[in-house]
Amino acid sequence: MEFDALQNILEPFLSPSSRTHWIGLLVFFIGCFTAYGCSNELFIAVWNKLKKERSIHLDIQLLVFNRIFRSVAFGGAMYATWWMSLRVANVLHSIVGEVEMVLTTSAFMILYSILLFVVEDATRFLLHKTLHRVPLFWKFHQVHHSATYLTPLTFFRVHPIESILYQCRSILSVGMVVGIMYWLGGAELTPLQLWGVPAFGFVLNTIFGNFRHSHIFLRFPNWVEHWFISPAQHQLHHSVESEHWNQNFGTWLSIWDKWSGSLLCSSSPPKGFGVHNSNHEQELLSALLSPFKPTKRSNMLIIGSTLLGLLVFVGVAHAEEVDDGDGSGKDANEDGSAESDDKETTEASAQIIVYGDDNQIKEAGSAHQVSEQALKQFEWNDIQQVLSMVPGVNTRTEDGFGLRPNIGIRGANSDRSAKVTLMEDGVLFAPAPYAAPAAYFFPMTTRLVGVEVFKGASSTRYGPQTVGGAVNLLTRSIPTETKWGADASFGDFNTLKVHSFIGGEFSNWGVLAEASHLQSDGFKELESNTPTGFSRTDTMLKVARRNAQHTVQVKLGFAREESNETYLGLSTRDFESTPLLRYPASQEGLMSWTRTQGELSWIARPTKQWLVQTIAYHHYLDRSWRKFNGFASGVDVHNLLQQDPTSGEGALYLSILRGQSDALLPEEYLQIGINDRQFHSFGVQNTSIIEHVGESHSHRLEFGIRAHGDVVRRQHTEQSAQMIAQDIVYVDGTNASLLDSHVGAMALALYVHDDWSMNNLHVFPSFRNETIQTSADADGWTEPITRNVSLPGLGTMWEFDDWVDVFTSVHRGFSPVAPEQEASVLPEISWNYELGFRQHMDETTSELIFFANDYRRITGQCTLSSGCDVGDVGRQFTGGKALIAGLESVFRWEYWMENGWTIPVQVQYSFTHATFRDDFYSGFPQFGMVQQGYALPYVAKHQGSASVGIKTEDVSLNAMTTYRGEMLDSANVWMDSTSTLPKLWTLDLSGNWTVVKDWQVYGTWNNVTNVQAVTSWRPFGARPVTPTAIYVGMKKSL
Amino acid sequence: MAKTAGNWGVTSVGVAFLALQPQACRDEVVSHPLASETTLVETYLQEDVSSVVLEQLDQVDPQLDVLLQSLQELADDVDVQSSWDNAQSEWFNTMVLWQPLEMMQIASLGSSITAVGGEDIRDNIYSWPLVNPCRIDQVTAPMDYGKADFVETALVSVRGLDAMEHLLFGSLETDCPSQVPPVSDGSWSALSDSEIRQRRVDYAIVLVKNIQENVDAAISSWENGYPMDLYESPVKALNAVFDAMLYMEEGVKERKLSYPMGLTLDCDSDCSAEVEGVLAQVSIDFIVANLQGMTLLLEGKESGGMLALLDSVGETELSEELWSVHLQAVLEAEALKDAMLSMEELVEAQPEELNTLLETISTYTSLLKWDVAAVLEMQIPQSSAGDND
Repeated sequence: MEFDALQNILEPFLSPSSRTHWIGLLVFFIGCFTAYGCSNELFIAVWNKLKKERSIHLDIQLLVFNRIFRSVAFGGAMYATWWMSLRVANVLHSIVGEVEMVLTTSAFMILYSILLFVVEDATRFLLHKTLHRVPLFWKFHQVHHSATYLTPLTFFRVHPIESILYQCRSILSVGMVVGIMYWLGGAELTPLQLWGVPAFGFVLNTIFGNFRHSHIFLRFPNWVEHWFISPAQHQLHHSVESEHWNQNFGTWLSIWDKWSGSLLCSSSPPKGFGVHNSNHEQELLSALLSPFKPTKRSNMLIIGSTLLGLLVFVGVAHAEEVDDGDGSGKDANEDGSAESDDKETTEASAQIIVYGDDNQIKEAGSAHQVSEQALKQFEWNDIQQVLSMVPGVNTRTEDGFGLRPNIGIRGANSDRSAKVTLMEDGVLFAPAPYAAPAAYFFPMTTRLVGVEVFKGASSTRYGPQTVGGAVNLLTRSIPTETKWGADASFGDFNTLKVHSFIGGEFSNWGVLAEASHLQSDGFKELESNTPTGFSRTDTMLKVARRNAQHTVQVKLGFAREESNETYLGLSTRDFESTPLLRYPASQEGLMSWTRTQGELSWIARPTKQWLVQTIAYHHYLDRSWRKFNGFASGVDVHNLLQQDPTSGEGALYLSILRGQSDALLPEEYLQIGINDRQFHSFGVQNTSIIEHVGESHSHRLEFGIRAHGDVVRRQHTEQSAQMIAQDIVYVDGTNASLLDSHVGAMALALYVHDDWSMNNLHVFPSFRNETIQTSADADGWTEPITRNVSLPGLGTMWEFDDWVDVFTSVHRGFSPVAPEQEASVLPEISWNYELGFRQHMDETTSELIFFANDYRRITGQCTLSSGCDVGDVGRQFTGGKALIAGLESVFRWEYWMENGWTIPVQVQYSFTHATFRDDFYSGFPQFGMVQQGYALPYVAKHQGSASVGIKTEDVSLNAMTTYRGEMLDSANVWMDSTSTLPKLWTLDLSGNWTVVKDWQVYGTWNNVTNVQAVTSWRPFGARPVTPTAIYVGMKKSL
Repeated sequence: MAKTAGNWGVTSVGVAFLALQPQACRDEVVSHPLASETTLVETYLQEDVSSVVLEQLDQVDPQLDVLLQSLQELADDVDVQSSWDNAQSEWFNTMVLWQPLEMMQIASLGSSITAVGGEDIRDNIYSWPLVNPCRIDQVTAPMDYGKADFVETALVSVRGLDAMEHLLFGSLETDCPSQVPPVSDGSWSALSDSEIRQRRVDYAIVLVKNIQENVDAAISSWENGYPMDLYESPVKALNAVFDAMLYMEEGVKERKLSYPMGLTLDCDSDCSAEVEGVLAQVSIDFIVANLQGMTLLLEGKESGGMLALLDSVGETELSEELWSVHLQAVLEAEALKDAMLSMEELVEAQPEELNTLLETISTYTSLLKWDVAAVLEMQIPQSSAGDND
């Protein structure tokens, strides 16, 4: 990339492809003389303008700056376009094969010229409109529109970020068209021949191009202006008059504007040019820097977009380097892809977790793993989407982005994932797993490299929650050789993801640093334009010292979130008409938290058969959630929104939520709560694994011990507020403390688990013991209450040949009693049974498991999100007996085609029959008045997913559909049909293209059919499905 | 098909479950204390509660004709003071007949968001404390009450007998702040006193006619007796009556007594000014009328009322205690009523007597919420469960 500054700066005037080529300028000057006459006065006037007009000075400054910037940043742009066209042609060749050219060369060239002209013009239009319509991009584009005096040089008056965007557009559109045409006419033509003929627009550029940015109001006849944009129409686009704004986005063709309703024909010249309230002065530094000023969130978007742009350019530059230069680009890429495939597993699907040396499962009980490859395939940001690949997992949507997921396993209550043992790398990560297990924090999905789900007897090793199962999130290990990776994506709702890591080993030291950031403007709409999005950042640092026997590792983490989230959903009718609406009453919603994580682990192998791991950990979470809690009158908002009355007091309260009526009376006051909570979770855990292989039998004995403590401080306040003209106005003197308490728990957990194998028979005895001491502090700490529970388990597995296992297990399930309960309150207890079979052959894997969880005592722990009153937060409600039984099945098949392509298929289905076996009344809102035979809420009887894909060496495409059957909002549905949540089908598509070794361009399209239905009525109001959304990104080695 | 597959699943799982289950215990039989008294419960509901509700509605209905007539006379000449006095007096007479029904917000009379079978009829007739004087003025000035869809679209805060109090007793000055109509657009100041009076009376006539329609609707929904078909069982139907009685807690104790006495957190300004019947200065009269409603529910007619139900489950002592506290509350409220003072004046002049009544009502509601609810196994609504005594 040779750099010749002068040549580069003059290139716009010398290059025939440039609008300001000297011939074009000559045409322009002839036009000027024709319009104004050739006189001394004209030259003097022009000279004075050039001297005094600051707008023109900025045109020139930006021209020079951009030429230098482009030469540095876009040195490889032409190569990138060329390379892109070769890639497109190669892909078409490999998929479709060669085609016979039926056109003559001249006809082909005309077709090509027309196609290129149309595609270029259409993509310019789209980008131009985007620059105007997206507020973030408008900050940059207004540098161009702030010109108060138009000259041909105004064409170059653009912010460098806008240059990047236009260059990306050019690479993609030109590369695509050239590639297609090269494929079609490849036998006769070379890409360079095609590259040299983008000349259809040249004529228009030369004759009319420079008049677009001028004060010569050159019009076309009206009927022509319906087909081609005249210079006069573009000048109206630059008009300072508001009635001209956001019209005539086209470059040459008017049809795009006509179709999108933004075409304005010329009549009279505008009164002036420029923009109102420009974000910069008419000078270079201000124009360059001002777009970055306004808000923290937009800065992150800008940085992310820039990173994404740079990634693209680094990628294509890298492509340029690795290309073999013979014009095909084929060998290097094929090699790269093959190497990549060799290193990574090919399954882009959830696979049954494998233990043992022979790659076969050795477990009595179901355990599933969503692999790193599967996570990469769909690039999900929501853990609930990931878990939709695993049978037996029930989830409940809340915010649509999975910020606070609600996960249950085998019918266990999904509220805030409190009935599931949640771990990251084997360490409990819930804010206070014993005292307050509601998972207000959840690690970012994008940085995970695997997700394990343990159910049935296999979850006995992971407590305290063993009624349903456990979820273990796997983070990246320190790589053994220096490695880095980066990922950036952008998509609908201005959703930006930036993720990178770097790590490696040096002598015996290993280091890994990883950071990920996700933000979005959100998809819900508040009329006051109050934000509804979020911003999340997770960082992690691992430092390890290893030798043959020992590894000592420090793991540090810091995470933060700010999200404009609310508990308030919509009423039945409002959801039907505008499912993405948010009520003005929710405008104060803001959740913010920070979390720190520190872990020290030591792994030792004292003997070949003995492995010991010890981890000490401390996690701290500080969160605050300001949100609408309800009305001063105490009306039940959940019922209000579900019943959606058109009369009575309900209609009045609804009209206040909608902002249609002011709330001025004391009963109508909105109660805005601020729930501050601080959580500490700390402990030490040790796991030992001893293996013994005898002549007739072997053992794999596992011991674990964990001393754990956690404490939560809750400080809840509430203030009354009026609603006046859709604004929240706080009422002075009404701030009240609702709750100020500490609750804590200390726990000692022990377990032992053995895999005793004799020929084809495995026996898995296990035993877990939890001793939990809880206490609360209202006016001094209460006398601790100690509870002890023993949880035995037994499993067996019989191996038929090498490919079929039959297994069965029984274990006792347990969920701890919430603190602040009297000693007489008993924990949730169940007896869980499993009978299953597993099959694994080369291309297929399948699993079928019958399970029955017999709850002797089912409980519900109150959280605000479950719909409880603030006074009941943390309180345990004991229900009666319940039976949750069903079957889970997984089938996976990978078909290998002769040409080397593969077609992976996976289907999973769960049937769950969950009913109460007692009559009882519970204050837990999701239970209520229950009679024997009533179904458990938020457990779908049928749910499943199916995915199919196609993989070539460097391209993979996948489609996945997910089904969830009807489920209930609360157990007591007597005379209340609105509490049934409808069944839901969704379809997601994803595609990955390994552009060169380690570099992938990817795209995901979630909820393709834009299905919309109520997914939850909790905490209160109908919650929507995340609407259709497309994200595109590029990643390296992730 | 799905059902068949589901049954197969259940059957299979059931077989597996039974094979593995050591010995499942049989479910315990749940027995309600009133299980053997179903007939008595049904008699109470059908004979007593429905009769009481219907008779009270039947008293309100003709009184509304009288009220309408007085308003129509007033409409003929809104500047005649005696006509105003007459209309105000008839409004008060109507209210005193209505107030016992405040204790009977059951089925169609109840709120559609809290009561089983609720049709918001009570809210359409009387929605206090949800009454918004400013919004009423905003309807009055442009004569929106005359629009064809007014009755269908009007929120509860601008309709009913409570809105009528503002129309008949309110000052000619508007309650609206200067930023909003009818002050901001000058439409209120453009009206003469006579025009305001005229519009208010015309508005009141529209409201009375709508109230009559709602009372008629209530009568027809209760004509066939207690709507048992709305409930899963007689006990749950009885629970609806019990829920309605808890108006003593939320309505009488909290909003009508504690609030004007400045004893609740919600009260942030001049509490005694935000009380029921504040314009007509009849707050304590309404509490007396509420207690009369309780008398009807407790004593009943044929069956002996709620007291007899308590007797039937062996809780005679509780029954007597409840009746005794009730009578004491009636006596204390009557004594305060005899003072002929507004609530604002009572707070100033007779705070001790008022406090005594509050304590009695607190005892009363505690007996209901804890003792009666416990022995009859009634479920308490969430909003009444918290005790801030």
